[in-house]
Amino acid sequence: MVAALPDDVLAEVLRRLGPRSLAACCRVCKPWRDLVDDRRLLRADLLPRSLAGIFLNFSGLCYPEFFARPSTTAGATTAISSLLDFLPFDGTKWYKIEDHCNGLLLLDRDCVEINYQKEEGSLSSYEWFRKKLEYELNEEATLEKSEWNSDDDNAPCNEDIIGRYNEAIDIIGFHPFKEIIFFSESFERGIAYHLNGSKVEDLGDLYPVGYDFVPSNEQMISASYPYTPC
Amino acid sequence: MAAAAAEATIDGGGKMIILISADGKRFEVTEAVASQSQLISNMIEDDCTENGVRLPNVDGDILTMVVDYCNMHAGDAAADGDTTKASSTEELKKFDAELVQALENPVLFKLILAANFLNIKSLLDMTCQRVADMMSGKTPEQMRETFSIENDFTPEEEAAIRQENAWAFDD
Repeated sequence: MVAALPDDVLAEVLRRLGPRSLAACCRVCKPWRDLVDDRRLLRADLLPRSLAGIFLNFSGLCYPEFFARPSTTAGATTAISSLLDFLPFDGTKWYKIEDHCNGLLLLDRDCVEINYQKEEGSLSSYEWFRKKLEYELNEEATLEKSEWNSDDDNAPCNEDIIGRYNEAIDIIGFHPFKEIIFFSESFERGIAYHLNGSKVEDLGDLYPVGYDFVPSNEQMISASYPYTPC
Repeated sequence: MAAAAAEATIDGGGKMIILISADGKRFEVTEAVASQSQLISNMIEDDCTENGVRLPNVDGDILTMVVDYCNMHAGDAAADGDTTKASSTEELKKFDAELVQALENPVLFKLILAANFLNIKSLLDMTCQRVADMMSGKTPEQMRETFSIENDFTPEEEAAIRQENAWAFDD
């Protein structure tokens, strides 16, 4: 029945759909998939397809931090220069992330393209974070499934997290395509709140290296950017 | 003057055009009403509507809807000035909503084809949007069911496409 519509008209219908519905259309049948592909209706290259982590600007620190959960999938170890410390540092420069888009970071002085590294990351903070995370969570099952976008039921439903601290709770970002809000709790712990099912997921420690030397009244997340590589 | 199109014939002011459906039904409409169709508008310009306009692609019951739609919307094409004759915006919205909401899928698709053939942009927009609304938020299975489409993918092919757009699927 719908097959009776000429391609031009069907395209006219499909181009009114959002990316998620279009992706579903691609799975309906071959003619629909071909139409979406041929006319480039679904620009997946323009969509954030993964959330690698969240960049955090901490006041009092000269580099941003990258808060991420390490992927434990074999061969897919992704590491990112969390401290951006490959940038020239002459002792006076401070780097703040102003914004980002499609893997490009806009710094207050420079624009930096981050290459997502396939090999083991060279950066200490990443390793530090990973160890810390393992220590904190101490739950193998959760670690194995520790993808940002996992909606898995293994997400620890830890009601105790909220209320353990009674200090600042900051929103540090929204998941680009899932119904998840990320919080920081007193700069110590990242929390994912799943709007579907109201699950609270403990993402581990996000306390930055070097914050021990910053007076507590100057500690603040000044900005945060969920980072979506191409 | 076009705003008064629907009434024009009574005053003897507008030229009438006969539309003839595939099954031979005849519809008499003013030029202003008919020229909402770009196809007919071009024919009017080319002076080839004298003996009636045959529309072999459009059935009588579908053409009835199209003519109703064009009659209702004759006012907004020339909205300036005389608003008393043109249908009010709310009336039009209500009319449009009722027109597409009530339609069964096969009729809706025929109406889309007619709007496409006659090149009536606003009607095409409205009907395409209606179909898009029916698709929105549905799973591939639900879409196949809604539109009676057969799944011609192998399970492997479907898994591959699913993988390609994994970001879009929660399940």
